[in-house]
Amino acid sequence: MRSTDMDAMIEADRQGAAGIVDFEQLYRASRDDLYAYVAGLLKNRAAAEDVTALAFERALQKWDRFDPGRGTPRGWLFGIARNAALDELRKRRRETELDFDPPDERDDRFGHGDDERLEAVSAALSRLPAAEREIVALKFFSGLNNTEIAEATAISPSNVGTRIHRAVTRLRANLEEDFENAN
Amino acid sequence: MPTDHHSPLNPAEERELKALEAGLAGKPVDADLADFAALAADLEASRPQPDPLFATELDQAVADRFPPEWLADRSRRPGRGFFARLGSRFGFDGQSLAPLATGLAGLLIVLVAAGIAFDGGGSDSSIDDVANPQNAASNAESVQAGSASGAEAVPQSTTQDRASDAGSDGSTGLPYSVERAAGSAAGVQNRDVARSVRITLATPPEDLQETSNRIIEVADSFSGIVMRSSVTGGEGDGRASFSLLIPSDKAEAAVAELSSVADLRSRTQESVDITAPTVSAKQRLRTARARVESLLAELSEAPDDEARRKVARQLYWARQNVASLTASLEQLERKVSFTPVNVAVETGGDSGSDSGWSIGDAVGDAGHLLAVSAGVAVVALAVAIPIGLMVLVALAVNRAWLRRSRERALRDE
Repeated sequence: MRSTDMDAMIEADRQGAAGIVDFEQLYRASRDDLYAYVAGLLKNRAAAEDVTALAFERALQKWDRFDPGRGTPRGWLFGIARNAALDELRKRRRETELDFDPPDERDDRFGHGDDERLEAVSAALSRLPAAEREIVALKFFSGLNNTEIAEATAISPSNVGTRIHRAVTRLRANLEEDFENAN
Repeated sequence: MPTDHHSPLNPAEERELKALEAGLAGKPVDADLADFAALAADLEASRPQPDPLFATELDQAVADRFPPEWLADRSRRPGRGFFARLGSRFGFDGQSLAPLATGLAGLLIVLVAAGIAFDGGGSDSSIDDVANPQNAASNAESVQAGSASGAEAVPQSTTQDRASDAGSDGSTGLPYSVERAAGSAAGVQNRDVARSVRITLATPPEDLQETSNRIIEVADSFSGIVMRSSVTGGEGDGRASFSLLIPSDKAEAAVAELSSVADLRSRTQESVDITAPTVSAKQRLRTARARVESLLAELSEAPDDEARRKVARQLYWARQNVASLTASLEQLERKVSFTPVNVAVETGGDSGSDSGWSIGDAVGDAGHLLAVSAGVAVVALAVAIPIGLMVLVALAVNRAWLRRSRERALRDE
């Protein structure tokens, strides 16, 4: 469920009063959502924390230059977060090319305790390609609507729907495969 | 919003997508789509949650507007390169600095190479900067001292006004091309340039005669010839004029010394490139002499008196032609060998030691200063605009590269 801060902000956006939204309001409404998106994409808690902090730091630096006429604050913020996360992926890819042993991320997995179903969903999600994992994280972890996702990813809103469907279809296939392997 | 090509969803897929949305919103769905709604709910439930300690730290950092110690601590963590730390320190996005720095370094290399190339060509062009050989008239131009172009090119003539201390500032030397012409006397001849100089001096009336005597002495000391001199005196309004011929190889020094005899009021130096007419005269003279030789041979072989008389008449006119061409060539060579220097001495008005500075002079100086400033501004713009354009291009290229690189990371991960 969305927070009251986010509801107020969205209402202000709808009324065209984006100037009322200050950075603190945007931060309170988006902190957990942004973290969830970054963590879902990067699959690493430490990296997710760094990138989340970096994204808010950059957003604060650029807040004065935000133009409400070009999009929503959340779309703008998640665009910044996306760039920071992709930079982390680029860095990770460069380091992986140099390393002979892949990094051990077992300690950084996002466990779900005894809920096997959620564990299965997480495991299947982690096997998705990064592009599809990203769209799932934006939609289901961050609570962004298709318009905001389109702003953050620079694709059309109709394409957002197509990609969500494709990602979920593959996720379901992964789940079925895991289920068959378990049985 | 950018448009991207994709296959639209079919109706069944649209229904599934709506079921996902409904599942997120907690709304009921058709029974055959219950799995989709359940999956949506499971995904939402499995979203990662931030560590409470991290969340608290981040809340405080945002409240404190990310203080430097927070940034310093973060910068030490892996993943933040030099440019990113630099950007954090100075409050800008350092991610794009690396390719931008590379682009600017490349731009600097290109500019230095272009500067070296143009400088190498420029000196050659200045050597050939002489009067049009087709132009028999002198070309007089004023060269502004300290012009914005900073050109030290070969002026065809210079006018120096109100030199208050002629000879001491090193600016009284003749142009480069006169040295070339003078050098021709030493056997290094590339172009034949005829020069002439006009000097106007100012002196108190009581010093007019002494100044005139000094001018004659200077001409003599440089082996010059006084073609004509005139000194007319009157209380408060005397004047003198001299027409001198100075050997061109000594003209520079002679003009410098003449300029220092009294207060220099003006100096004009003109030049005409007479290389083409000189070469042409030499060629015509050679041809004429060859014609004379040919006629002499023909004369010796004349079969009879009638033929001899005919050839003798032709020989007479050929020799006249040779003489005329010889005289013309000698005249041209004299123009190069000797430089006419006309010196005028004035005593009226503001001549003498009192070199006052009038309002007209102030206006003139102000105009000169404005002209120089405008020239500097034009040159600065000429340099800044191309550089600015190249920087913009570099930034655009950098932005495109960064975007593609990020998308590639998403595809390849």
